[in-house]
Amino acid sequence: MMKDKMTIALAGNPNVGKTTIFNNLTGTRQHVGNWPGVTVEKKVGTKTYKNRELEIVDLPGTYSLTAYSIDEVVARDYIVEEKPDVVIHIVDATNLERNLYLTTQLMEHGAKVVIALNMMDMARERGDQIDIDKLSSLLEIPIVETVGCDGIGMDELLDEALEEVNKGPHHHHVVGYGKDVERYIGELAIIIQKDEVLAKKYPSRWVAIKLLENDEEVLKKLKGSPAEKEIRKKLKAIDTDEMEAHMADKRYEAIGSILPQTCSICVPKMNVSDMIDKVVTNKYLGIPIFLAMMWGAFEITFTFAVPFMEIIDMIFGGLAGVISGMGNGWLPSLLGDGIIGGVGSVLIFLPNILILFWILALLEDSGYLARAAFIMDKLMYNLGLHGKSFIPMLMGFGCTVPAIMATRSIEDNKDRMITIMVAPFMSCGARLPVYVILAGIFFGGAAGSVIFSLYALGILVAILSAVLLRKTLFKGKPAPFIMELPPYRVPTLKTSLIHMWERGQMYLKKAGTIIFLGVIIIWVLAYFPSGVEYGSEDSYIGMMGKVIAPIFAPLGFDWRIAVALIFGFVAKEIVIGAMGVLYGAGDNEELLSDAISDSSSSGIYPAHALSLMVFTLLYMPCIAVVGVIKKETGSWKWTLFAVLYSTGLAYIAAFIVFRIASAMGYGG
Amino acid sequence: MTEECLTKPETEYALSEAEPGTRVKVVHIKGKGAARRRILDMGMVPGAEVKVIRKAPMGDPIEFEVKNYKLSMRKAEAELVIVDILERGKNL
Repeated sequence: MMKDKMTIALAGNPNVGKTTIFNNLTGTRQHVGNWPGVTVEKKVGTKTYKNRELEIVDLPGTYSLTAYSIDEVVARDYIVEEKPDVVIHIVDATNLERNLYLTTQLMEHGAKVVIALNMMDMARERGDQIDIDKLSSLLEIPIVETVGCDGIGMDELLDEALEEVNKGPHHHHVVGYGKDVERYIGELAIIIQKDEVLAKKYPSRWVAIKLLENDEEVLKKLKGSPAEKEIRKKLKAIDTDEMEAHMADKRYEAIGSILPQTCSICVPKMNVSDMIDKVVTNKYLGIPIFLAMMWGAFEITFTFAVPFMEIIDMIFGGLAGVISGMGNGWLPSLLGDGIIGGVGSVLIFLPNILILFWILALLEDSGYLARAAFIMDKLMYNLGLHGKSFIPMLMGFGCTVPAIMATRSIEDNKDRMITIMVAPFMSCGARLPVYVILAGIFFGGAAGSVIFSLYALGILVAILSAVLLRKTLFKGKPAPFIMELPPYRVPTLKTSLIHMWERGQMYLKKAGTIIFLGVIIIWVLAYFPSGVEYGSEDSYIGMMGKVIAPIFAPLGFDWRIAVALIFGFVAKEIVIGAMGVLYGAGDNEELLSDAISDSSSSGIYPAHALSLMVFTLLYMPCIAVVGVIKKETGSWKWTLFAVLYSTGLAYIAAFIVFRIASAMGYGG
Repeated sequence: MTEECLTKPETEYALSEAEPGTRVKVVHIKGKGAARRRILDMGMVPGAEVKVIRKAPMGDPIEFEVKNYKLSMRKAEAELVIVDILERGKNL
């Protein structure tokens, strides 16, 4: 059976070097997208090898074929439904016992499997002696020794995969479940075969085993099957909870009988990893080290990015100014203020995103990210979140855009959604200039305390929102915390850089378009009707401000502030720039300061300023954040919810603050 | 466990109660559904030997060694794992 095209799926536990092998096999010929309907990353690469067009699919890491997280459902569905020609199963040679658990399940399903025994160098280094030939013959699966980070064994792996495809199907009988259970399996398999469609699509032994394990996804596949009634009746008489434990036990037992024959001295000793953990997760040192690492990550992300952001700002800002100044009429303004300004608004976030994801990739590949979740879980769990929610929330203080993108590491959908919804309340860097100017003008020496209180308010709102959302829209407990703490490893530069670039690309493609469109819409509203001053009282945006001004009156805002807040949708720091135009100060901060500090003419008293700062902190996330929320939730409904929820909260909070401050005599 | 059996047998000891350094043997996993299946998949099967390594700095989750690798679980999950004590840890 010769085929010109063939599909190879890469499967394996998390942290076994799967991505490195994928990168080695496909090089730059890869495409990153999402699996249909979910926000799990799908990576597909192509390679021409020995006159074959290979399509290589990197499946999400999975410990088992009993689907648990979305990642695992995706991986299993691909193997079961799409039936790749061959599965390359990447096994960590330093952790055979647990890795082979997935192997037993792949064999059970009947997929054609080739094992890549990865990290063989490390296994050898620590003195393990693995008899690969013996292991291969006991498992009846070809095994190729690989060292992912050195690219060793890649061609051999593909050769074996090609050879395996050409072989006929064969059945593995590695795991026997004992007399009684085998009888159940046999009986169920016979009933399953009565449904020809089902039996043709899935191996009936595999379906029988999954049914005995009470697998909901497989139970769903039974819906409408002629055999459904009989199967359910049969299952009713069986204690499937008991079966579940029995099956897992037997699989590990089978592995337990194979390993001693193939691996001598495979006993772990106190190793470097344990020594690092003794310090890094130490009762007293754990938290200080964690905080120091986070401080470092934060500083690098947001200070190293500054010069790059300044360059982008200079180029695009300068270009926009030159072009829009080239003539009157809408075209120069559209090109300058609209398009070039729009591209600039997209690119300005790129340095932050690239640096943050490079650091996160290094932390993840080194194994520290799992420890970070381990250390912070207690705190986050009390808020109804997961340990993995901490880093995205922290990054929110820098910029909400990468913060929301970083929620990808949270497996449970509810945990992730809550984190996405509350991360915008962590006061980002773009909100600071608004506080600095307003607090500086109206609160003088107390400005520092005011700004600090705003940050605290943001955290408080995030915490309360998390608790509220957990009790209402995302009911239930946080997902169970059952997480591997992988051994520490030196991350590879190539893998982390590829990861970084993928995130950057994804941001540009998906979020970038939304941001760009938003900027253009704001431009249209500020420029037209033609002939008016850009963003002034007579422009559409000015008219909108006047229309909505009554809504804002209870917060102490007049139409000018309403307009500035609409502009703030582009980026929150623009609130100040827009106020400059509206109060006739242009972009001169001192003039603006003079104009608005004269409370009797500007109508802004300390209470108004406070209300405005609170509103700016909480109201609808900027357009870039809306773009990434849409991309990460995959839903306009939830994006709209995030906008309305935050704006509603901002309104209530600003109202309360304004009333209290006015009552205390700060309202003029 | 059947429903009539509401009183906890005295010998029942949950993994969440074990102090660091303790070595235990898994007897069975309580509960139902996804968390239980995950615990089993990760190698905490009846008969498996588990060593309690340490608690996280804030006391929860807990790190274990099972099947030659490190697994962490919250107390809430470790409560589902019923164990026999093989060797008590010297509380360091």
